[in-house]
Amino acid sequence: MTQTDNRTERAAPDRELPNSTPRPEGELEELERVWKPPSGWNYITVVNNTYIGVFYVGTAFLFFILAGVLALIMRTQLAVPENDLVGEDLYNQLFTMHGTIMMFLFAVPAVEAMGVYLLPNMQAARDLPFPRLSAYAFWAYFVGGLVFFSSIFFGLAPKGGWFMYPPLTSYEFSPGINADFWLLGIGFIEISAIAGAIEIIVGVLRTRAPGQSLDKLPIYAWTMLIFAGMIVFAFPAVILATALLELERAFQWPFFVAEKGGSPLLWQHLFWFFGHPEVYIIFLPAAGFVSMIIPTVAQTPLVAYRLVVVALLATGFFSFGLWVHHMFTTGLPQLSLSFFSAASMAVSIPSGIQVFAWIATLAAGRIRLNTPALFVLGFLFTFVLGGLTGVMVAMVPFDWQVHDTYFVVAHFHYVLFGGMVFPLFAAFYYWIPTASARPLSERLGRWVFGLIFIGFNTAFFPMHITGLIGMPRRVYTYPAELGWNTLNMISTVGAFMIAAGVLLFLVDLIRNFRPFTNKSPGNVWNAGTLEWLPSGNYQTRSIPIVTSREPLWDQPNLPEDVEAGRYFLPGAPTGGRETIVTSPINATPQYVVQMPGPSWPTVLAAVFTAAFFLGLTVKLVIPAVICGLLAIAMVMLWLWDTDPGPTVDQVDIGGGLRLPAYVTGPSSHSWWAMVVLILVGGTLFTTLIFSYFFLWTVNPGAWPPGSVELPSLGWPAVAAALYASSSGAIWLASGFLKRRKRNGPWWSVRLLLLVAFPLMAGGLAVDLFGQWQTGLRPEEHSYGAVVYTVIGVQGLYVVALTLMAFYTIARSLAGMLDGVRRVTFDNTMLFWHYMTAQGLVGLAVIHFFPRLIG
Amino acid sequence: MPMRERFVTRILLMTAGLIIWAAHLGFVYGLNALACTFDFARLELFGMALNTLTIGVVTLIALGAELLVLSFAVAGRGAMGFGGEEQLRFMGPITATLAGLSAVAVLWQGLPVLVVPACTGAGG
Ligand code: HEM
Ligand SMILES: [Cu+2]
Repeated sequence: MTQTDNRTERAAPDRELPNSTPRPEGELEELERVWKPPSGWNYITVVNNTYIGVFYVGTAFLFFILAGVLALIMRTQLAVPENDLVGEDLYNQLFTMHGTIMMFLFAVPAVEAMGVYLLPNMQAARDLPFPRLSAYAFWAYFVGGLVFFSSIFFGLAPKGGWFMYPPLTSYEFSPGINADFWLLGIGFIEISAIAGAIEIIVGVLRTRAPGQSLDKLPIYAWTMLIFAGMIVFAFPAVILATALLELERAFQWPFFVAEKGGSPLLWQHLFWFFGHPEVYIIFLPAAGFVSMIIPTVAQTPLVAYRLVVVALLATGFFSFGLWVHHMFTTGLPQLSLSFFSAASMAVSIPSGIQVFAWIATLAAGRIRLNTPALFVLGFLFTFVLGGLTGVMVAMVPFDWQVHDTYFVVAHFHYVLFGGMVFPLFAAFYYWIPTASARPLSERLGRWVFGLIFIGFNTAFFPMHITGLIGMPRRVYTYPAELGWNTLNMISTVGAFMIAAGVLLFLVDLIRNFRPFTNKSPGNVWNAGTLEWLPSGNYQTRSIPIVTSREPLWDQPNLPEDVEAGRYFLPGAPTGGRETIVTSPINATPQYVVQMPGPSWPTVLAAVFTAAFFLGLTVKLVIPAVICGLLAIAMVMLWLWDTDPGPTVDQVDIGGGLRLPAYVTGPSSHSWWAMVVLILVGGTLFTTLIFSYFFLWTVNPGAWPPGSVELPSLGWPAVAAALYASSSGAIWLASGFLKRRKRNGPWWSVRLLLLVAFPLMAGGLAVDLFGQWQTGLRPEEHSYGAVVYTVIGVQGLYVVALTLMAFYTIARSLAGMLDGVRRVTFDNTMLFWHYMTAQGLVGLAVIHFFPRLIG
Repeated sequence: MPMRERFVTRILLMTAGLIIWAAHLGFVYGLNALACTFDFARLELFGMALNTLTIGVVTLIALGAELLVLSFAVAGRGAMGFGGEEQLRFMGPITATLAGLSAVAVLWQGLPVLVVPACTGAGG
């Protein structure tokens, strides 16, 4: 604590900073060598966030362009009445793909990608804590996304609309594999998004510049933290939804089929529990851009920083309270709906707070109207307008009138395009100087802004009116005599203006964007935050101590001192990649984490994972399974060298601070990541249990349905005992491991792992067979379907843990596991205990609840 | 590690207002859904619909809890015994403001019960 506080009040003479200059010969060269990306073919395996981040953003932007092209085709089709450029079937594919790609392949990945690029820079960390995980997330998304996109060329694209309501999308009305493309493609992209979210949470909380305590955290890091938190709680719902629908499509498990005790409403609940927060998931990081850009543009700190943090947290929560507002016309009780109307009012307060803070900051400073500033102003205008129409849509009776008309299309484009695309362009123009040898052109930038802004309003403002005079959405054409012609023509012209703007932006990129060099135009906007420090592949030469929210404004000489290596960790003392891990609240340095470098298995794992999902989609089961196994093998290979153990005892980072280079247990970054992963699993399971109860309310009085016998209580009792005793074995093993510090006889730990495995598997088998022997089958009724899904999810954990157990044993056999070097074991242990807890809850619900009500 | 920051506790406290709000929404929504499905929305107690009454009482409890968090935070005990360091001066007001905001949201959620019938379908 004391070492980091008040150390650099002033432009300090050398002595007050942690390290003295001149730095030893060769230190910088060593740092450069360690962080250099691989060359030649191996370049693909690069993991540095500054590279992966740029690839990632670039890919997301590519999808923006592709989905934009689809939109242009639609707009061309709608330009004149009774057009026959595209037929109904293709049009349906077009809007489904446009919506899906924009939401899943562009918006979320784009903001996540910006986080991967920006966060370490802003927090002066050398990289995110799990560089290979971000590389994996990127490659999985890249391969999976492109294949998903190309399905439209083979007429295989889904056409159920981006929210894919069953029964329209179930086996009866959508045979063929179009819907499967959506389900597996999206489920898969979500997994990649979750991987990124785990990375971001641990990164924001644990790898910050010393002294960058929560009250000095850049607002952008706050938004990304909340963004990632929301992903953790929202995405499992849609993953579950897609999984259930896929089960229904592939095996006729009737979750959504009304005649068999299912309900299409279940899909809507699950989908919108994710879908509404999704809008804010996209919006929050964009608001984070704005909160970073505005202070720079106005050259004054953000007004009401603390209130903005309040607003972000409140948005994160309140936005979950709104899912039902998409279900206004489904016959839910009116009172239930009004709860959600209340929540939609509540969520508008925090947005208002942010808008107020931005305007106040602009008013407090002197605005410089550069391109980022223009895009920010465009955002404010558009977003406020979209907010107003949003209030209208949120009012219940109004919603019935405009439901499914172009008014809604106009509204959500104002929110999505205004709330996310404008800030994203602002961010591009603003931050590209940190990534490129040259900034983008201010002159072209103004034209880009003008075209996009005017084009956007030309395209979408008239749609409000088209909607009010009755034009429904999702129609591929319309008759000439309804008075919709002129408005539609105007919209189409506007759409092409946007396209011209985007094209001009590409020209600007080609002319000026020169990434991956060590040249940089420097702090061109005179910004105050750490990403504007001089940097290389290793980020900053030394890691600064931060005493302000805008260190570059308030800590004179910071860039020079950082670059000279006068701050922490100016070299690579462990001889590999490393960064400082700090405490989550005060950002006190705790240890130095050694991070893995480039690796082929990571890239291959991503490719094989994508191949696995795509193989399943096109029903090539055997190749899919082979790819799945290969993917698992690759993941294990990649993990193999990520638990290095204490290769050096302590690292001197400067200022008399000696930190351990290896830490296990609850304060290690790996433990944190595992806990977040368990939260994801817990959310998934909770939504599944919600589905169970929801289906019960669909079948009141018949739960389980009459013909079904519950297994006698002996079954769950034995299963529970087996699960619990397997966890007990792991617990014992942990104790044994602790007692043997290094190099002892390991058979006890290995043996216990070997024993725990059959206990766990036995628990699952009893669990499953108990149901099976009563004659319960999943295809007959939603009850059986949901019961077997609960068991099936448990089965997934059992499979995962089996792999983990044998992996842990292998580590032990290889001499890579002991009382000190035990991160691998700890991860297995945490996951194991979670599996047991989930199994017990599942058993309790399935066996006791029906007895309770029966 | 020497510095125990009690991160989880402190973050949970900071967002306590919002957590109460979420619990309230979950409860009233769940209760109303069940009441309508199983047709006990018509049960009465002291001449008032039981359903309405419960939602009202739960709303009052939630409001009370919000105010409790608020007053703790305002009284400087927002971090409830974590000492007077800088981070608490940061987190205290956040705790209070979030509780205040959530109280408003809870109130909005609770009020409709007075005017809107429990189970009439909306869309039809
Ligand atoms: C680039 C400019 C854009 C244009 C010209 C455009 C145009 C359109 C059009 C014509 C439709 C179909 C309306 C219908 O037939 O019902 C549509 C739907 C949609 N758009 Fe866009 N859009 C653009 C950008 C975006 C962006 C940036 C997003 C999201 C981030 C987005 C998300 C959606 C969604 C979710 C739908 C609904 C799809 C469905 O009905 O299933 N759009 N857009
Ligand atoms: Cu919504």
